Amino acid sequence: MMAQSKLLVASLCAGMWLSCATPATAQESLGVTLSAASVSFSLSAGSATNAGSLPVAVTVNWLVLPTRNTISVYGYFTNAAAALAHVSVANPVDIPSSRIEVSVNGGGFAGFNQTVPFGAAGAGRRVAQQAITILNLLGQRTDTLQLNINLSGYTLPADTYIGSLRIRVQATP
Amino acid sequence: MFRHTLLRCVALLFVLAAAAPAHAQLNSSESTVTLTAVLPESLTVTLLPNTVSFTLASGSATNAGSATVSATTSWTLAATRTNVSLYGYFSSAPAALVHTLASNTVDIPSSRVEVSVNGGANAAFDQTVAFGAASAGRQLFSQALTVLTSTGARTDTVALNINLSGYALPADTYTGTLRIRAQSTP
Repeated sequence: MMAQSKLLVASLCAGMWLSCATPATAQESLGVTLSAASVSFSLSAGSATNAGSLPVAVTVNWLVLPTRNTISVYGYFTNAAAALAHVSVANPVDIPSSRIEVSVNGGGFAGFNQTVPFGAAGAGRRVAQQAITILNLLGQRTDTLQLNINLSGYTLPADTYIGSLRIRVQATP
Repeated sequence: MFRHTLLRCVALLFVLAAAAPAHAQLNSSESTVTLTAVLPESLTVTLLPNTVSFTLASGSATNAGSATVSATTSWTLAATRTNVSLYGYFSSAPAALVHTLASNTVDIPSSRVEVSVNGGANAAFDQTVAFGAASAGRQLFSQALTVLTSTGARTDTVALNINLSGYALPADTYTGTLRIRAQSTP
């Protein structure tokens, strides 16, 4: 009887631990919201400077376990050779991701030419990174992305080019 | 006592096992921005200089212009375009350069104004081209386009001459405007 009682108590304790521990895993969250759903560009042939119509504010919210030490924000395309694809059937030329540049929080422009955890090889860029400590397991940050299309030395027929820049956040390890 | 400890260990293992997936990387969902870039068609011509004078010698076939004109044609075209051409023309074939004196009724016809493109042979403005009056123009160049040359520029040197051989012209000042225009087709 005594042994059965101890077993019952032990099981209850284990159950309590599990009920505490399991939601802790499920409650980790990582979200990203963008201030704009679309950006347009009025291109000038051969120009290195074709700025996007407006900046995009990327807001990341997180609630993570103490095991995490880094949160990274990535921008990427699904195709390095055709980040923005032509519309005209007669036009075989696209805009590669390396020609699309991003400036984060007013920094220098850099092309989407890195291989990152998401998207196609050579079609991404890490746009922000946040160190995580016990003091910021719950947090938020906003980064401003200004986009540019660099057509310097790139022959592009007149056309409309369309694509999607994807943003995703990853917490590691 | 041993069983109690054993149960605690088992419970702890359960906890650790449940917590283990948290050590895998955690990814957010994907957010997207639609990017739309428009490169419009453009076709421009710039001339330098934009005035040319002639000192005429009566009856002479050679009355060269005071300066050659550099015509720079720049284009950004759709992939459907297969050709770009440059035309020079006047708005009147019989009176490309018109007299100044009221008592003078004679003009210089466009067929008497000749052009040499990039050092080539002189040819008169006597063609009917896409612009200007009938028989008052000349195609200065025609260039085939491919996707690789859908954006481009070229500069051509245009030297003008007025051929008065066999043409009686009263002494006077004659003025006119040579117009230059590019066209891409189709």
